[in-house]
Amino acid sequence: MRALLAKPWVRALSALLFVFIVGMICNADGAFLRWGTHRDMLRQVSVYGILACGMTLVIVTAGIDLSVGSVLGLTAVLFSTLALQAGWPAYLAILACVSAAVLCGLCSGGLIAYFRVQPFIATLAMMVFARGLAKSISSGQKVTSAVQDADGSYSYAGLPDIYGIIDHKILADNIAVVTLVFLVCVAGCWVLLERLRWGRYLYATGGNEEAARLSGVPTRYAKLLAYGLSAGLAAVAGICQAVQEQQGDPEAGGSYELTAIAMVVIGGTGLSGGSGGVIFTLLGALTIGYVDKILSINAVGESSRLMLTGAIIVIAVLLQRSRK
Amino acid sequence: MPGDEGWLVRDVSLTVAAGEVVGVAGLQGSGNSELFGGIFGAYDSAVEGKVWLDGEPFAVRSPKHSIANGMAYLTNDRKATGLVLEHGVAQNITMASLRGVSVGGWLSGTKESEAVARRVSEFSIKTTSVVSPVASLSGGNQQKVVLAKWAETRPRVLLLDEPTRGVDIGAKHEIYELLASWAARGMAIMLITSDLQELLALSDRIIVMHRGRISAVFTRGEATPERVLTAAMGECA
Repeated sequence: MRALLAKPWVRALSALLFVFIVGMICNADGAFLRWGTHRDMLRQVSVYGILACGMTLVIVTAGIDLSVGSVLGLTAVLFSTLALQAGWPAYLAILACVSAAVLCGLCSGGLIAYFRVQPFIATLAMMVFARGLAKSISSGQKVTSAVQDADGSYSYAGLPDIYGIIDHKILADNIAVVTLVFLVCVAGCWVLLERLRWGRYLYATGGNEEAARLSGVPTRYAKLLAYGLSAGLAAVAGICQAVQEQQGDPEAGGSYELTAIAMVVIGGTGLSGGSGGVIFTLLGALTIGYVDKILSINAVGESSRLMLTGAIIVIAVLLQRSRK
Repeated sequence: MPGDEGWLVRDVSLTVAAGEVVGVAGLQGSGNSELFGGIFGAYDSAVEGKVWLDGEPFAVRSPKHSIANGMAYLTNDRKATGLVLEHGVAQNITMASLRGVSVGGWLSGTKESEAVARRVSEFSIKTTSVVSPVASLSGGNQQKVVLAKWAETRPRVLLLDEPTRGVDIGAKHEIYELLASWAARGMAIMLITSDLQELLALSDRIIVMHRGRISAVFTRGEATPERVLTAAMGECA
């Protein structure tokens, strides 16, 4: 039993199971038993979850990416500007947003890999910079499809098709498209980490960078890959967010990086690097999602919710430490 | 090779033939470990000097480049620079040869487990499972994992810095036999060890370094513990 509990995936799963059972008991007059509740939880957790996937790749290399929330805001603004106002076709707008974000990621990754800047510092700088860029592109205003008519009143132009596609529920309204996007991101990161050679490079770099380098592992490229992909996934999250809100808010994604880190840590991926994986992050994301959902259907106020989430993170980290 | 106080290694010139074991003796700070690191590219290209491999000039660039050209470098601190302690035995064995166990960019599970099984039995690595963390192994078995990692890269030139440090007697003898068989198969081996008896027993030739320079060269017949030690202290033999 003890040996079983020591397995990281058992702990991650049991945390989720525990939260789930609490939900079954405190089901708020059956609200927790309806699929719609779960569907909404999955939809709400998706944007954070996409960030957490990229965060997992970075944390596996023993790094941290504080810039994902700001990059999300930047791409939300950029996407809205291009798709709503400049009238770019959706695929071009998506391509431009992902490229811009990857560029941001390669900048912080480059500082970390080639100039030996601490990941915390480099991505903190990118967090501030990307937020500033988002505000400069949007002039600090929310980017919407509103157009001012000659008489000074506003009217809203129609939304491009892509908005309908992403902000939609499929399978007889049973699952949101953003949730599918999240699951695709999880699957992609899983393939990279578990099945590709470059995934091994990420783990080796995070596990013991010097031993990896002396074994011929391209540790610098591995870091560039991690930060580049993290930012690229932040762009995917930013586009989803922009579509759901039907606007590009330059303040979008503020403090999202902390939720993403919490999801990774609660899942059991250690911040010291070289361990964990994206499936743990999926379990961590669901755990946080359910905690939040259970509290909200039981009408617990936001202030108490935040405090409880904080306490849960501490408990998860302490459990992780006692394992060693 | 520039260091904090000028040069760590200067005016060192040596050759190793295929099938030969050359011992590089020296006290702490003599520069022998740094010499190995420099040749291997552990300091990337921040070194000056020339290396020839099979008579061809070889540009020291990076560990990756050296490994691709048949060099292997066992460092003197396996926990800090040789192994990823929390990773499994298998993952450590294939760490330096991931291209060999993958097809395109994809890891091949069967290729990897075959390679690992072969090395585990060849080196008689004692572990409960190939996924057990290397940290759970004894010192001798950890060192055999490092040797297996380098064997898997199929090197022609081996730079071994303290291959028997922190290794039990039984494993030491296995490592001695291994080195003899590698030399017999035509590998060129350079060896650093602070165990003088071991150095004399294993080396065909011994180069002694003192403060970054060569202070003496002995053939197997000439070398005695006293002579090597005197030269290592920097006194003329």
